[in-house]
Amino acid sequence: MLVELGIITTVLALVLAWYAVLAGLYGAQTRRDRWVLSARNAALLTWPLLTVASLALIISQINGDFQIEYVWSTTERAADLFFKITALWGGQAGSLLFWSWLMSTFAAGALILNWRSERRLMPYVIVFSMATLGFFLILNVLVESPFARFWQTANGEVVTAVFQPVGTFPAIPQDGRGLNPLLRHPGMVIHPPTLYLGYVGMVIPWAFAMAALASGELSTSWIRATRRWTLVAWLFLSLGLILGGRWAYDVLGWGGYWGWDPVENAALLPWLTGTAFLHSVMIQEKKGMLKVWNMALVIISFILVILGTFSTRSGIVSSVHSFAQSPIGPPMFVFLALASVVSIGLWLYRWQRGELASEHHLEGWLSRESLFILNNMVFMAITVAVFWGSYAPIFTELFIGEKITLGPPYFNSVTAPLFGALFILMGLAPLSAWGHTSLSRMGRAMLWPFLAAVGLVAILLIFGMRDVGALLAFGLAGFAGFVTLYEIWRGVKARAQREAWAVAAWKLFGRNRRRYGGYLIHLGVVVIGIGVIGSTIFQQETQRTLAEGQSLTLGRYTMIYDRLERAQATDGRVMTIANVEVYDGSQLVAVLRPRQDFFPNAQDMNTMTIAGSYSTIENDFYVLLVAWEEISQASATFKVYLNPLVNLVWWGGLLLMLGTAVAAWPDQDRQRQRVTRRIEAGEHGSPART
Amino acid sequence: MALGLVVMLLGASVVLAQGGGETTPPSVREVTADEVNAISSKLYCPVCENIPLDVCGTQACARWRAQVRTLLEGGASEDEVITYFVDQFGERVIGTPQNPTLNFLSWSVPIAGVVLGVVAVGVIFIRWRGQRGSAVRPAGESEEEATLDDDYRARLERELRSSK
Amino acid sequence: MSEMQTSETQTGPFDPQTQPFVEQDIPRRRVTPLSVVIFLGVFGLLIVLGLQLIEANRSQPNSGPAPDFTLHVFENMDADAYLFGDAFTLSEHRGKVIVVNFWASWCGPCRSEAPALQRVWEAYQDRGDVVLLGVDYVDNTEDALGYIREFGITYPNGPDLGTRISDAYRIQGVPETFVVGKDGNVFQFIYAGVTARDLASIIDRALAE
Repeated sequence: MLVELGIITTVLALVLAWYAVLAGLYGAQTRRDRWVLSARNAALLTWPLLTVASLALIISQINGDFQIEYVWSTTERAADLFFKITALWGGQAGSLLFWSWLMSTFAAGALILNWRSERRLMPYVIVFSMATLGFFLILNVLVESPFARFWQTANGEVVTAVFQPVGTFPAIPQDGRGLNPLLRHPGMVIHPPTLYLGYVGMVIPWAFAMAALASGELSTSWIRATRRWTLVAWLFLSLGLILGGRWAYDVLGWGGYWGWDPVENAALLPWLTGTAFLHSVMIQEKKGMLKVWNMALVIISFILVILGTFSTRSGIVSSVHSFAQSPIGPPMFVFLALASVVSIGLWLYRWQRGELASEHHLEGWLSRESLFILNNMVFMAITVAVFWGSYAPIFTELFIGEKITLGPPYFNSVTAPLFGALFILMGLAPLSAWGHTSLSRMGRAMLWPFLAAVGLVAILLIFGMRDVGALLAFGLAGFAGFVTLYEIWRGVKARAQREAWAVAAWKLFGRNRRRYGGYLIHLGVVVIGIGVIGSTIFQQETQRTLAEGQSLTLGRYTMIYDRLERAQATDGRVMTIANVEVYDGSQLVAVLRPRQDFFPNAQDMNTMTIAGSYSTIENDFYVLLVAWEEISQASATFKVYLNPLVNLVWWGGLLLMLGTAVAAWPDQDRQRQRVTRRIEAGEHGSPART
Repeated sequence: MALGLVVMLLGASVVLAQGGGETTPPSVREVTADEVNAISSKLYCPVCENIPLDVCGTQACARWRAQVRTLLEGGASEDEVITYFVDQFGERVIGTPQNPTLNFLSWSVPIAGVVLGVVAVGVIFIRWRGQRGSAVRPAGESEEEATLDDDYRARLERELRSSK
Repeated sequence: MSEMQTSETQTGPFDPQTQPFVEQDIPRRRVTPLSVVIFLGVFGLLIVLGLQLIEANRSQPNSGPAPDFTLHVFENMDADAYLFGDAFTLSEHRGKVIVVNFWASWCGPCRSEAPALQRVWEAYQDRGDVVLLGVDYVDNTEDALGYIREFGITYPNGPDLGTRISDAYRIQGVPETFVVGKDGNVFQFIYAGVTARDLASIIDRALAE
């Protein structure tokens, strides 16, 4: 019964989504508001329908209805309730349903929250968001249904079909295959949904942008809604990237958190263009410039989201995380192509008609605008480099006939200077003014932060750091960080004349959320940057086979191998656990239990190496159990990493989240009033009024 | 012997290498796991794409690491080991291609991207500045006002000055 | 500067009937070269992705001309050092039935089918119009030679240097076997392991063609 309910609700949602597209289009074209309202109601209805469909699948997972192929392939009887629920996104078909549900949640959110304020854009927002949802629902219903079931034919063959084929009877397996072992980790439970939230979130800004393009309603109003939704998507993308890194660090067992893998890059690409947009959109808000470009960035971010989904799920780029080759490749490609051609076509059309022209011109070579434009250039350069790094294998395979891999050596050497440039801009931009800044003014403003950065480099030199690249990197990150701290300090100091320091700080952040939230994000990025620099350049590793009681030393830590033990967990995994003692000098600081889990029932990836790690501010002592003497268990092989400053990556991530929350906190009213006032007052002199 | 193998694969004198392998016993060098890992980290598992060889957990990868060790013990240099793997398994087993054309291609695109970006930004700056005199300059907006456009900032500066 | 008009803020309640069409006031512009370049660029990227998608979804050839290749055959398998003996080029053996078997020493199913392959070879090798070839897919050379010795394999084997042969045949894993007919076309593709009986019957049918 549940299955039928799931099928019916998904199909209904599909029909309603496409009805909303057509009704919205018709209503917008003929200016009949009744149709627009009808389209809205249809769009809103997809949410309860998809909620029911998702719940139907989740309940089937909990009940262990293994006749459903998806339930069979992602759960098993012995699995914890928690993993039975999260199996919803443990495989292709279920995660597509989950994607659709999130998409409809976001669409409903946009329709409810922005209905009045962006009334003119709404018909087309419905059209474009529902077209995207409708497409994913086509995949769900026709290509990869999570409700497909096993049926047995008269001659004993088992077939998979959504509806019972004639002459068959249900085939119900005893037990399921269970979730992919790599996904049985709390990080992996949160990571995909946050990443999907980021992906799906990017659809809403795109829908607004497309609505603006389609309706010709290109005043700055679309940018308001878009900016906020982009910030939401950006928050989730950032969170997804950081959690993904944490998951890799804990579970993939290679001592790192970022491997420039095509799937990681697929999530990084829209993050990069989204970040560029969040900066350049300010120029449009302040100066009415860069309209063509901002529109392009929103469209590119959306296309990159769809491209990332397409390429990682269709098997055209191979990766650790890839879903196996699947039938959704061709339909996804069709959607990608349509979305790209329609978006870019509309954008070029409006551009050619001159409807996206700047209202202002650059006033000074050195200004907030010019620095933001440079910032955008650097972000785009990184985007191109990362894009090429991920997709070059396709080009070389097609045109030269040789498949290549571009790995960390490529990405690190190409992106490092660009990230360095970003740190410089991050230091300069907050000190610059809109319009025009003189060099001497900038020089005076950056004097103290600059001296502090020089001081930092000097201290590092004194402490014996001789790596030129590292010194430069720390210096630049330090400069950006000091500027941000200095700016915050100055803000607090100005207020502190009237009130206590703590109150001053609280109010400063509370009253200027966008500015100081942005500064917090900058600080977060600086902290992440320092963590990345430290753990990339100064990572140490060694591998040794130790007999019981033997030790190895790395950095200031000594590790003694105590013994090996075996255990079996409730989900059937066999764990081989090494007990090791970690000494800092002669002081016992930790007993670590690095382990290898073996999943006897799992299909392919059946072992998982879980590190034991002793974490301090300074570094992580990260131990992997690589191999052991099967019979005597007398000796075991360990791979040990010393990852300096790696914890700053996570802490910087938290700071970044906090900053985004501050910046996105709804206090849009005053902001909106100011912009409107300014435009109404003709402050920037729209020539149409002069 | 293993070095001989490398030489053979490079298409060098086959007969000589074989003769050498039989008469003089190979000098086996002590090779640590760290040396093997250092080179393996630059290689990728040939069958499971995008997993560096040093962290790949499969049995086949363990054998390829053993191969790295054998080659090193035979006296091969890092470059020779890498060349051996590329010849055997193709360009995809290293992080940046060895083949000069492919190598050039992989670096030229991001560099071209940066150059293009710089040119585009330059053109935009010059065009926007060029329009300055002729085009719209909001009436009544003086240079000073433009500078202090950011009203929050202006207020902050004033308050900070007044505190001195 | 009439294009500036769109920057006007429109206020007041939404009234679709009275809204003027802003677009009509705006003069049409020419299509600029830049936009043509952008559009072509996007098209180009889409075409490349589409081609790759087609490529990725193509499966092993089951008919049509067998991709030609040259295999450098392992020789002198008993010695520690080995030599590449003859270079075996597929197209030079037109008129024979050629069985191309992809294998690797690290692959379990390959081990199960190895004795069967050797038996088939022993049954057909004297005829002269049947050739069995082992293509060793990404392997450790020592292990590969060990494997050949272990199963007493006497038909020619060689490494798939740079995985060029396996790429041409689009194999998805090992073992996979292709039987090439006398006309140089793929006669049959066998996914996964084979038994001696099945392989022999396929060869017989190929010979009968």
